Amino acid sequence: MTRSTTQYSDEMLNAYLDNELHSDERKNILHDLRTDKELQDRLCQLEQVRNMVSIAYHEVPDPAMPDDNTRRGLTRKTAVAAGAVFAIVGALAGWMGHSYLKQDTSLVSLANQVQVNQPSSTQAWKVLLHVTSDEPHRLETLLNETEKILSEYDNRQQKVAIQVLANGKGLNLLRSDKSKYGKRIADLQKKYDNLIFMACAKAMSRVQQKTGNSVELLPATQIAPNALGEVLDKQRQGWTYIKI
Amino acid sequence: MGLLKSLCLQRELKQRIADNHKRLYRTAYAWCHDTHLASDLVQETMAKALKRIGQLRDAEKLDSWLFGILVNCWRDHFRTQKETLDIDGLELTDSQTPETQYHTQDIVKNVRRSIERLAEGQRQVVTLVDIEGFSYAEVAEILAIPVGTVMSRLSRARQTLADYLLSYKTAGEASSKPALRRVK
Repeated sequence: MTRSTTQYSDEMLNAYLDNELHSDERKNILHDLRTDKELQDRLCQLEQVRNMVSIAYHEVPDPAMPDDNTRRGLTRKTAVAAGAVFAIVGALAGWMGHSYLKQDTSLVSLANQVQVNQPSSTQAWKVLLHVTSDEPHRLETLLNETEKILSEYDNRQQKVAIQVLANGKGLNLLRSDKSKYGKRIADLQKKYDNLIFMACAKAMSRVQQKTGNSVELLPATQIAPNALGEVLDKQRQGWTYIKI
Repeated sequence: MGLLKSLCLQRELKQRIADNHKRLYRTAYAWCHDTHLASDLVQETMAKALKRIGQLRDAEKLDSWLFGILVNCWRDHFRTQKETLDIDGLELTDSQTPETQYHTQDIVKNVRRSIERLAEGQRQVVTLVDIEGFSYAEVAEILAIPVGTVMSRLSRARQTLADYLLSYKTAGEASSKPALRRVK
């Protein structure tokens, strides 16, 4: 009895459970299982673990909003037909929903709708606007919405904090040699101290490697080490994430 | 005729890639336990698969080929993350105390937490075998490792999980008999 227990390694018992053994090896184990209590216990434990792992991932949380760059590649036709496309994630509630929206839809109301835990009147609503494209209609929308959110909250005397994060081609919004919006951004920054523009350092270094020239940013632009990390950090801190 | 056949095959393969979305996402989620990251990894995997569909030599091996791409995307992510890992912002993987674990009595949560604590190689093997039902040979191909390594990683993973999970279960049931016996 003892002999048969020790003669089977854990690898072999696992292979038995996973139906990976040859028929004569299976036959030997089956034979010994009839009389060997310890062998039964070992197999039973492994089987339990296997079942538990399988059950634990039977249901998994719904996918979060996928990255816009890959989505665009997969559904280019839909995106073009729909005009400007926005993806919204209610960060506080995890995955809340996703929608393709027309350009003239107000992000303020939509973002508020998907936000479950509304900030109280004393708390600031924190919004991260993420842009990865330099298409003019996206940049226009980004600035229009930023201005709209800031002015609406200002009028209502409610607190709001907005951070605009740019990476990929979106970096062009904040490059002093490329951006057409330098003056508008400077005016917004002068007017609102609760607005931050942030560029991704990785995107900057990629541009520098490609062109051989250093990237000059608009005044008062801050730098995040990497955009993905910034997005994840802000989401963990309860910021509402809106990708434009 | 040959061209038509090839186009039909490509169409079928693309459909099969799309059909694998749920499986890929479940596996990616089991590896990272982060819906955003899992979603990004799967999108990247599917985009790469669609782009490289011509490189697939054996249509029968589509599933392991797809999961192999997922493994590569995961490795790439891990490599880029290493450079920018902010240790101040890191949360402890297992912040639960044993007391709270006993109280929650939630098998799913405990299994996921235990999977998180496994070494990466073991986590990948055990999820591919137990969740997606891949054979050892397929896992070896997906992860580009020998079958013997698959077997040893799986064995260590299940033993570690048994240590974490079955001891918890026994303590919860207040059994006097020791539930674990490590066999070297």
